[in-house]
Amino acid sequence: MHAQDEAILILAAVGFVSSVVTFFVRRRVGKSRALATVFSIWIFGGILALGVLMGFVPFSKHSMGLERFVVPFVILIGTAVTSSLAGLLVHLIDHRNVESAGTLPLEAQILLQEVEHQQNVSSESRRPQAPTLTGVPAWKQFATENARRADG
Amino acid sequence: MTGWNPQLAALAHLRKKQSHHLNQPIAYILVVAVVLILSVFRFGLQNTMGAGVAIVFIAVNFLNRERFKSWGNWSKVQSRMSAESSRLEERILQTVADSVDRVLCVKLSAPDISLPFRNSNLVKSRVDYIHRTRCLTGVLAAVDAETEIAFCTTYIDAGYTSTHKDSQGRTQSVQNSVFQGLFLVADFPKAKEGWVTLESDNLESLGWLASEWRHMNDSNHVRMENVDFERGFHVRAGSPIEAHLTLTSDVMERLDTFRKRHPDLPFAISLKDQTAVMLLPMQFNPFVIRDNPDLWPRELDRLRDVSEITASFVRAIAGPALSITAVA
Repeated sequence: MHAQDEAILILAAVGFVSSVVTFFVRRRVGKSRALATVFSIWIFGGILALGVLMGFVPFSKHSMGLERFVVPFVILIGTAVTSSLAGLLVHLIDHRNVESAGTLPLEAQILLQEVEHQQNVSSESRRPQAPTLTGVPAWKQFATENARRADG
Repeated sequence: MTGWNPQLAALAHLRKKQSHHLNQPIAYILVVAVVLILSVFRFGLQNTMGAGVAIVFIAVNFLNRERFKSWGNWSKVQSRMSAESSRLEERILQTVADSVDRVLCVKLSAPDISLPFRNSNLVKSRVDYIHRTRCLTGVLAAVDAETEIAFCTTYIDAGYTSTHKDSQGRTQSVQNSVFQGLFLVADFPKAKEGWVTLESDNLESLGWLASEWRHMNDSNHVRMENVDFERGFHVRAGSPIEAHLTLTSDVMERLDTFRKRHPDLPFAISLKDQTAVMLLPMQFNPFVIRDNPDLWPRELDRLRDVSEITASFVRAIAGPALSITAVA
């Protein structure tokens, strides 16, 4: 296999892997993190492909007959390593933003505490469900129970 | 946006924290696995790259050592945070609804609305499932009738399930959605007998001929005396008497005002069994705040629109009602 072929193979694999990663990661972690992951994959793939082209990564010199497996193997490992590290670093930076109290306005902090307190209270004393009134549709009963201030 | 900015900031904080808790252990496990594989397999790149990776890995772990402690009660943290997050979401949605009308109440659950949906005559196809999520609900006190008008708006996905065999002979069931959108139900004491349905799309845009053609081909079509109303709605009923008993002149006037206030909405209304039902096709669920903060202004605007539609529909149905804000 020529160096050019290997480089093309690597870039194709990188393209494939990055599109798959984007597809699965985007919905869960958000656009910016997905982009960070994909960029890291492309940077790794690009450096690898460049290395192959310039002869620094001598895949073809291996004589164990594993040439066919080396390229995908290296791509997989490298992709996993770089994306995980990038993800972890992004999380670290993120974490610092999240944890520092200065980023949240005071009102929001008070609100969070209040919500947390409510959560504890409601989980402790969960009310039993009211018995269903006969003949009253479920939606109507629900609306009546949750009426706020419709009394006049 | 000024009213709920701190609430949105708190929600963003919770969501960020949540995804952080969720992703960190996964990323960590991946890195550990890869480092192990690299150290087991020995090939050309291992000497330089393997050492570099190991150094970075150790450094990252060292910096991040505090976080490992919280992984033990990972699922507990997750469930607590998601409960807090949805509680906060409810408060934000309630603030938006309050800005429209104080009578609206946002709930994270929705009641069973299959009975009014099936009774409404609006969906002709078979319906096996109705998925519903959150709802706007409440009770409005009508002045003249001295009754209370209960109402509920929820986003539903209704459809039927069909089974078919795939290429390997396995039976698979598929859900075919028939209607996705808003479902509004409210008390309507005037509809005592028979049924009446109204469709806002009267084919006006296609011209007089198209509209007439539709009326001619519909045996249940009823002509009403109110010209404006007749122009805006396609009315169907079991008999003309039922239609005229249910659609009194003030009801027609109020429904026409509602249609004029929301001119672009393609909605259908059913008046039957003392209940008014409105279906309004909509692609997105307006009751859910998604994870991406960039979308929040648009999502909250959408909820405000839905609140406005609900409030004006309920007031059109109820007639003269007590002004809740004035009373409060």
